[in-house]
Amino acid sequence: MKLFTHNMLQCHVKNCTSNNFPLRIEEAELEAAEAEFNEDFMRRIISRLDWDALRSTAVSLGLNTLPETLPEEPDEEFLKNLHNVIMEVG
Amino acid sequence: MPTTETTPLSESTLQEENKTALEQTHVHNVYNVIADHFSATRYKPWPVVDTFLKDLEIGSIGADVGCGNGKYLGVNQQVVTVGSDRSDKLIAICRDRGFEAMVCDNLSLPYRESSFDFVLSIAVIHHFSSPERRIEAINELLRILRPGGKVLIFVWAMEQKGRRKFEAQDVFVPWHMPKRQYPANIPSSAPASQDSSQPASQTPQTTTVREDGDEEVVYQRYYHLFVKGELDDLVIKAGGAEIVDSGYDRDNWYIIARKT
Repeated sequence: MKLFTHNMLQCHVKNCTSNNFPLRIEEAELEAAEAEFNEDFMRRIISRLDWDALRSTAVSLGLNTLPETLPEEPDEEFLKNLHNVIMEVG
Repeated sequence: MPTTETTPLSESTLQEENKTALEQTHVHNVYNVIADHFSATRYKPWPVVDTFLKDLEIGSIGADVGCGNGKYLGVNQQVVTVGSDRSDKLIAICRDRGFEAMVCDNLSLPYRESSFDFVLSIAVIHHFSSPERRIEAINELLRILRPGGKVLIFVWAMEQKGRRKFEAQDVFVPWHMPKRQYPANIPSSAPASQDSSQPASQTPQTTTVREDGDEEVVYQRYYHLFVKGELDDLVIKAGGAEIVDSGYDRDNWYIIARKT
């Protein structure tokens, strides 16, 4: 599962309404599959991400390339790296 | 193609306490058994769905709930769609095709609230066996949609003019699977019966012989057929959405609704 998809998930068990997001990933093996980079696409996508959840999940998997906060004016280099983290690693 | 005979459900089968067993035996288990054959017959996108997907803004995020073999997951490369289905066999097919897809239940989706720009529900809601469960399913689709986001729902119409004839709104519709092509998919000991209390992985099956002599295994899928206006009423009852468009296309009623 890509980290993008993971960012959309929360626990769906009945009455699990607090601390239900993000889901903790255990014993995962990471793979990378190349996906086409599209800058406009990425600029739109970032508004829908929960940044803290994404960053903490990435760090838990040993991916330490995301800044603590989402930059106000993301440049291409930032978007390319983010594309790699959320759309290529899984 | 001959006329497909459908069977109206008995009142006892439709009783409240039997509903989850009915859906398990005559929806989930059937799709798991017929997954490969079903997938081989599902490749052409329907025009209304195709247009809905291609009109989306670049970078839109969507959920296809009940995505089957994933035929809509790759239609528009400018958006990203996460698939889900109750059938693990169909999800395995999606993953083999390189799509993001997971097994889950429409009544309890594992997604954050208000997180998707669009939601697809193609040929899913008609497999829920009561008005309450159908509304609950639509409510769950609206929960995950962001305000302003759109859901497209397709369900089978009672009024369809094709080869299927219906005597009632709640029916079993047979699925014919050629035995020779799918020998490994057929469970060995499923007795033929309309009893809903089958073991979790089984569904009743019968065998017929085609005119050319080949044998077919027949499974019964449960459907609730929608009459004109019924889908619109359900969406209005679910609440929190306005109807953008609705109509009839290829034996189905469809609706596009925007979350308010």
